[in-house]
Amino acid sequence: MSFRITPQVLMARSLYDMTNSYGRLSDAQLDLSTTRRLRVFSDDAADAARALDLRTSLQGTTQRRATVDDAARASDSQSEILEQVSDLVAQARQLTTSAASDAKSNSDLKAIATEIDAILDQLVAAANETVQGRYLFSGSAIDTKPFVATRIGGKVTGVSYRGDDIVRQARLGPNEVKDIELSGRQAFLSTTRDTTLLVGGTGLKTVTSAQDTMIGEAKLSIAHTTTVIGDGTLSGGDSVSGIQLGTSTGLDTVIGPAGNHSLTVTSNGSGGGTIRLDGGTEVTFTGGETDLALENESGDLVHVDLSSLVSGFSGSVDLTGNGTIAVDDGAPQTLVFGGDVVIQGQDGRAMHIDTSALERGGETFALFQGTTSIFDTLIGIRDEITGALESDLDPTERTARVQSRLGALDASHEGILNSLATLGARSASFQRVSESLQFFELSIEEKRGEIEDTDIFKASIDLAEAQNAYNAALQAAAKILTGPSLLNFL
Amino acid sequence: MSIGLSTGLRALLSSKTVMDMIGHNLANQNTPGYSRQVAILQTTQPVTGPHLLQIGTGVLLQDIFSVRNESLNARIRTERASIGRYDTETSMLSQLESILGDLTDNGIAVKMQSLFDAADEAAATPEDAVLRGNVLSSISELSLAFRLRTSGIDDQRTTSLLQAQALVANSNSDLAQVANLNTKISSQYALGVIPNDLLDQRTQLLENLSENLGATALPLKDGTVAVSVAGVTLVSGGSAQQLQGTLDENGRVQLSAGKGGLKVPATLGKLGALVDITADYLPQKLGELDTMARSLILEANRIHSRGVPATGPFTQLKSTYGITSAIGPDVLSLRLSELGLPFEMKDGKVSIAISNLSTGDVDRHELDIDVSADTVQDLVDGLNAIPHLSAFVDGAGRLSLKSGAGYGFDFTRRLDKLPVENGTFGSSSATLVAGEFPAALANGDTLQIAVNGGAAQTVTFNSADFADITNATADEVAAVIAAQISGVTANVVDGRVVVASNATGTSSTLAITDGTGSPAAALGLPASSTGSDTSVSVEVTGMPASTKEDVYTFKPTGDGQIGVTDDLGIEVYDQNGLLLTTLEVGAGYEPGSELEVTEGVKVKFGPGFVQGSAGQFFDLDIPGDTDTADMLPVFGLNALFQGADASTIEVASGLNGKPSAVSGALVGGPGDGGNFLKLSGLATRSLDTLSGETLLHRYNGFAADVGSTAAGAEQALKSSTLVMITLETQRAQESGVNPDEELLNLERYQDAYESAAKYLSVLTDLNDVLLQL
Repeated sequence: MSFRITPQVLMARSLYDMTNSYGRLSDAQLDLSTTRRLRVFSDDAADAARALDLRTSLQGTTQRRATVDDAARASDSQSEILEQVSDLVAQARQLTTSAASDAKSNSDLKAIATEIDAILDQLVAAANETVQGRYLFSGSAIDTKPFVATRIGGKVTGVSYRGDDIVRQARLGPNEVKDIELSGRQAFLSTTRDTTLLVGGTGLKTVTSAQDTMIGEAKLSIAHTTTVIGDGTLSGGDSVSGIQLGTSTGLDTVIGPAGNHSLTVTSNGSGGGTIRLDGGTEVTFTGGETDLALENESGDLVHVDLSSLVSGFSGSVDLTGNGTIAVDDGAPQTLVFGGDVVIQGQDGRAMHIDTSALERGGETFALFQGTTSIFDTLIGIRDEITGALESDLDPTERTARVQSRLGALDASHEGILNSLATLGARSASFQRVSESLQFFELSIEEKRGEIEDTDIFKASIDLAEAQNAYNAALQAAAKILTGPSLLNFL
Repeated sequence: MSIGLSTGLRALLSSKTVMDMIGHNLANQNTPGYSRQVAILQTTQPVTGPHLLQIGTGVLLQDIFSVRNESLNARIRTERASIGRYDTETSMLSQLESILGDLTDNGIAVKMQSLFDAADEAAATPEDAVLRGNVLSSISELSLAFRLRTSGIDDQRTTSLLQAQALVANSNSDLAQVANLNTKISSQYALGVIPNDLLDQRTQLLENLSENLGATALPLKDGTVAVSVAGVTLVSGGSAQQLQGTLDENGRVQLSAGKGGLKVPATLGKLGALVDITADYLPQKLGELDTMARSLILEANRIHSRGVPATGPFTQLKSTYGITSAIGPDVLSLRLSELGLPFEMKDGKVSIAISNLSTGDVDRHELDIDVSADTVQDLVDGLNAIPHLSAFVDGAGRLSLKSGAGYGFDFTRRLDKLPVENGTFGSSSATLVAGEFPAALANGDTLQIAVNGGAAQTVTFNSADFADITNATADEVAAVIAAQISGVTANVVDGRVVVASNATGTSSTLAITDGTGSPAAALGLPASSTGSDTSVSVEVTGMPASTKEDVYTFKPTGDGQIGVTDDLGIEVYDQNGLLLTTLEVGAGYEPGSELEVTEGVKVKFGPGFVQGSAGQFFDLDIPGDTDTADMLPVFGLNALFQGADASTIEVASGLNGKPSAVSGALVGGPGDGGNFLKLSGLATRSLDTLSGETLLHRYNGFAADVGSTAAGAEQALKSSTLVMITLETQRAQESGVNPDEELLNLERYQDAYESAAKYLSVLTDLNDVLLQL
């Protein structure tokens, strides 16, 4: 290489150096003024691709967090209402317990019924609560009032659900979607069947080992049809003792399988003697009676014909009282005696009863606990109290019937508490997700910043360096341009 | 004496000429392409003097030549071609980057994510009109972003074509000048003269041509240069071929030379970059944007068309795309494979759910699509054959669907809420179901049916009532029973014959006595059935998690009461007869409570009696993908987007300004945002149309490619520039004028001139002395 240095060489070099220095200065200045190291993809395509990826995922995460926060707020709104509902139910329970006390006067009971009615109204109002114009408990039908009360004489007699079963969902992650709220059905109408409660003095029992399918409550009416004495082979009478059915046997009330009732005969050795039904009063007979009425200690009645009594017979003869059972005044069904007998209710529903200890006809009140909504349970309680007032039941019966409703109320309360627990768990999980999304957001932001943003310290130093380099290039160029030449010395 | 005078004179003249040359050098020290000139002085021929002494005769200016390194010039031209290319590439790609604006808040990726976010937000509160509106506006913004990119790139292509035209015009002028200089230089060469300045001018022009066209130059002995581009000679001697730039059918600039139109494939220089980027890179990028936009349109429309607005099923729909046929108005005869729409249909099925709007009862109907065999008319006929649905193609080639009064239709995977038809399951009437079809009956076969405890009635199967009595169909058997037995109905449900007493309740009975030929056995007709006071209600809810199409058949395991009878179960079979599950509906089951059949599918049985022994059953259609033929997105029925590519993508016209019409729901209801969730799920879904990539990843890759290409070009430009600086420096070192050097020389020649003058003066003095002798 030749070492001839010409001004063109110097000029070109200076220009190149100045352009380079100026470019670096401009880059450093842009890094600082925009606070971004990457402004276009060509600044660093690989890093820019990562930055864009992080940018969109940051955007998505921020949105997801907003959604999750909304979801938490929405489930909290429902929780607040359900807490109010739970308080109302607790109040109702207190009132019911107090109504179940023997000491309550009719006016007290009336006041309690009115209070329960007011609670019912508050419950319906709470279930129809709105937030920002949307009903909280109507599923996806947010513009439909979810619970509509039917009223007779201003009193709620039924509450029906008009919402649907679709619940809003929030996306928590790419493949994770979670329900946000509960539908009105889930929150207020869900039931968990508890044991069936029977109130009445017929001797009918529930079968705890089997589950019924009837719901709400039912009136079981048991009526006597025929009486069978002993082996029943003597036209319904007993061939061993010779005791036959009395002419007024149609008026008998004894009901139950053989052995639940019995006749005890004590002969006086001269064709007469005494006879009694179960532990009832002994009735003296002479032997010619054809329609002797016998009553046991509980008032159950049987008519016997002693005209064919085996002479000198002393002993006990079992009675069988056949009957029918009708559910809610429906068609009477023949009573079968056994430990687990299925009787049919309406609409294809059925219940299991234990008739082995059945003793007499009459009405038994069946309460299928945990099968009614909180509304129906409260309506039932109110009506029970009102009904008790109207029917003038004796205080013990009234107490028993009102008390029997407590289990149903507890089951309904349990349902509300379960809904609250579900919502609480959801809200907590939304909050956890929100927190983790927040951390995730921060970490994405940090990574994006690391890649995309200017390292201010480094950029400041770079700027200072670029400035120095540029100054030096300018000075050098100025020296060359104004430097001495041979001309100065010729 | 005369020798001395001549010597002095030559010395004077030589020095004067060299000083002129120095002046020329000094004057042109900043002239681009100027090569410094150097004088060659030589002693003249000596004369032989006395005693054979050789007497010098002085100096002769033998030559003035330019210091020129042709091989260096050739290298500079090569580098100029590269610089021209990379410089143009860098500037065009940087322009492309600013059009894309990917690292700003207006980039396509950001807008795309905004759409998915808007859908995500609307999913949680789908009833919020503002959030639904946000979905639409984010679609609109994303569409606009795509369209702005394509129009920006189109503008860039147009500008680049204008630039290319200007370059061609400049180059033609340069080529003509080179030819002209060739003529002049060769004529000088012929005279033995080297025309330094003309050579410099030509060198400069050649460098321009290299930078603009990537031209190469071959110096020839006659002093001319042959200029060629990509092997095509454009200048030879004194003639130059004019370049012509035309656009071919692909919009690519084609260069041709001279009248013959010889193609010149420009790959280097500015023109090469302009041609390549305008013709290849930008269309390629436009194509990639189109692919992404098309994928977005197709996938989003696939999702959207399978959903419904909050109001539930549609009562009418009109397609977004209209079939425009080359064969005129008769679009109905077009095959489905030749619709000419932006997307193509494929062989598959379309499953349409017809809902009774008052009961919610759903009937599903399927259309098999064979795109190469079926015509538009076949499709319309198929749709019209569906009860409560009518279809037609309007004058604009748009497919319209309309449902009958009280009915709605949609393409959701909604399940039939009430799947029991004609009392085939848990009916309050005595019901018997015969399921063995086709049945092998014989002419004269008889059986007896006693209805409601009445006298037995005889059914006689005669050949006349059957197309082929040995392969009796359910329809034929049902018709025969209905005609011959009073007090019953005989229907065909899901391929089975259902015989039901007209009475209800426990007194409703049917009793079969098989007769001649035992047709009851052949038909699988059970022996007896008793009705009950209530019929079992069956309600299906949910949405199947699996997209596998199936038909579930539910059959009681025996006779009994729901919720009461021990071990009563409902067996569920799939369409291949495989037992999927047995639902426990006996003792312990709470009537009306939900039982999960398969994931997502739930069923509730009301209280009542079922009779497995009577052949009771019901079928539940499990819809798979409701549109494997892509009929919905191809026609744009209930579309979210319209358009065919990045330049036409837009919010579907039917949705503009109607947030409530967006199908954010999977089955319906103002709070059902299931389909919004599916739309937001598109963000992370690998798409077949993008070779398994997600939309965002594909876009990211696209932007990264533009960025790395731009960065590559910039890097190449920097290296070429550095090489160029070195070469230029080298040339300046060799050929550049150094004023100091020239001034020194000037001093030297001034001295020489002065001394020669002194010498002549001395000679003159000597001459005077001689004359005075």
